[in-house]
Amino acid sequence: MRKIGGLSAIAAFAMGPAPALARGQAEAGVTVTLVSPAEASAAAATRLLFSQTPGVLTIAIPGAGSLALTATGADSASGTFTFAASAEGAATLRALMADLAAGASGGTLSPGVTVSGFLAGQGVQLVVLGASQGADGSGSLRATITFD
Amino acid sequence: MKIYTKLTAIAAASTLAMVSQTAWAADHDSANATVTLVTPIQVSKTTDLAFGQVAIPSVGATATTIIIGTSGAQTGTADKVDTQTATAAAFAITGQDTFAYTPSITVSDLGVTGLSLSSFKGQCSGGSDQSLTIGGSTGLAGCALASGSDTLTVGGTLTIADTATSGAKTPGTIAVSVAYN
Repeated sequence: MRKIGGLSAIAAFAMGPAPALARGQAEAGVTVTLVSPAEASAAAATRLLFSQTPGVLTIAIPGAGSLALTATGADSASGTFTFAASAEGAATLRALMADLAAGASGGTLSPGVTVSGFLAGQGVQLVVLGASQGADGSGSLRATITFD
Repeated sequence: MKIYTKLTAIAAASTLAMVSQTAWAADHDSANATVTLVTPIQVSKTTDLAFGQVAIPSVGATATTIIIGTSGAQTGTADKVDTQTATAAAFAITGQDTFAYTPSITVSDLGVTGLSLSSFKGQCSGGSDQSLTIGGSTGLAGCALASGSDTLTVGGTLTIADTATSGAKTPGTIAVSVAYN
């Protein structure tokens, strides 16, 4: 009897803790940052619209047509995207820059020029990375556009 | 006669002693106390489920969606401003090599105005997407600790109504507990 009793005790000891105790827990958040939609004001001021197509930004300026800017890269450090405008779109963007800066930049598309302002309550900043202009005003432009 | 009686008594005593000795020897034995120890299972968050930076629909416009797959791929109808910050939720699980385990995932919708969660999915390394219950706990099947570790990823859909307000939001949480099978 002593032997049987001893084995019973050992068997119970060998089973160890219940499996339910061998567990761990952690939690992750579900996050999103929402920005206000950029859209036309009732006063038909300069319009800035987001395209449904990822990586493409559509800018419409009443009286100056519109242009689509295609993302060409992103700066992970600053979180900004780089867009490229076609030659014919450069003049339109130049007009936008003049609108934003109220003449502060003089409309010059030289590298490093930074302008910022508000379009329909949406903060916008443009930084010219590179530009070339012909005598007739046409040319090409690379710029970063940041919304806040 | 006296002598015979005395010898008989001695013989009886001797026999009794032998019986007693035999019984005492049979009462000794031994058994080992054994236990098998395994590495404790642990889980830690690697990344949150981040839907990125998106635009709120214009007033009166149809609600839009952002979908983050368990692979981290981002799709949907919402206007995305910065795709760099979109990631699936990821959890690192460590424990005993080759052991199977079950992660229980609880997705909670915190009821942020204009935002709602749906169609959440979870996946263990090398597995396939398994649907998760919003507001309840779901156990994933087929998870194992190859080489003592595994990665669990979670993705889902965020619907954005025009009643949402701008700013950084936390519309939900994902709680994971793990246990050996």
